[in-house]
Amino acid sequence: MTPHERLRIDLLVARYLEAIETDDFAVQERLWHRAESEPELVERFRQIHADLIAEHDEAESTRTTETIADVVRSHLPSAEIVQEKTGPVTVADVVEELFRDKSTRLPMDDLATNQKLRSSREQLPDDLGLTALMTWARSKLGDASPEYWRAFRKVALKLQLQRDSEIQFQMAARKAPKPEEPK
Amino acid sequence: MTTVTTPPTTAPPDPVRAALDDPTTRIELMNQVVCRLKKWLSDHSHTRRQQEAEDIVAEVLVRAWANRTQFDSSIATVPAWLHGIACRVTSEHCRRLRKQPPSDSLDRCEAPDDRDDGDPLEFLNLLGTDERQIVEWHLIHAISHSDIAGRLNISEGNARLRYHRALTKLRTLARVQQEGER
Repeated sequence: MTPHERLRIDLLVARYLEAIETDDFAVQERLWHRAESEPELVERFRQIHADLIAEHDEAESTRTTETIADVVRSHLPSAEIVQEKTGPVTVADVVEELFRDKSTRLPMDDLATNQKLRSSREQLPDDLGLTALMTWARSKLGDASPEYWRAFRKVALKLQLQRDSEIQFQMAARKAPKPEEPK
Repeated sequence: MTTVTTPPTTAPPDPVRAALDDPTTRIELMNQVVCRLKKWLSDHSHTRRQQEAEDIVAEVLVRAWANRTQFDSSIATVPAWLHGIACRVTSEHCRRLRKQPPSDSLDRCEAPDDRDDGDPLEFLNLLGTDERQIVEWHLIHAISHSDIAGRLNISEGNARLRYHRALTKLRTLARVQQEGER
């Protein structure tokens, strides 16, 4: 498929998505009529349905979680809400934890760095040795004091261990296959 | 005494029947209907929406079966034909639900999909950073939606939706520009 052809199809799919989101029945109907002679469109429209449903379900689940969290915060102020995270540990996870950790006192410059890194989705490197981490961090994240990277490493190791143990727990808690009946 | 044996007659397979018997068809039609109903029945429970969607899909299947002789395999595929019916039935259902008059704008019905709005990519710089990046990655560098999802730490479906929404913005910008020039 040429890039021009791909753009043409993509624009039709975008038009269909817009028609669904704006409740434009006439355009939807016409695009389905058009899909009768272009099987590729059928697949792409179906994909859009599945994506929209997934997006809606995710939004609904986030809303429910937030409502429950709000209720817990207002009625159980001393409780801590632990959000289980999945996937690899990111710089943002470490920075967030550093921000919460009252025992680590960072100088003003490092606090500014910390604030800047709160949105970084960069994954931590495999090697969390201090020298390797500092080399990696300076090339990817910018400069900060050695104390900052020491504190960063401490929290990174803690989070990495926590995440690993959660994965192992989930592996251990998975449903065992049913043993086969003896014949 | 002689016996006459006739060769077994094999009727040509009915594609509509095959599609209606296929459970995947039902799932795909449900997806289409649920997408539409989510907005129309956002104030109703999930169960109610599901029931409405099931009613609509049942009606689609009945209507498809009743009109199966009108299906022409030389101009359409069965899935597209069925989704077209689903589109009509859902529209009727939504209008009934909200007691709205039938589709209003004749001009909207006749608006062409393919009218030339110029090159939407000309307006790439007017998009936000994330949107521009997604369009550039996918359209210019041919990076797949799943790779883009990995780079942005979002789901593949979300990457796909963001891409198409960005294209819609580009199309709108191109159209506004053209209308301004006229």
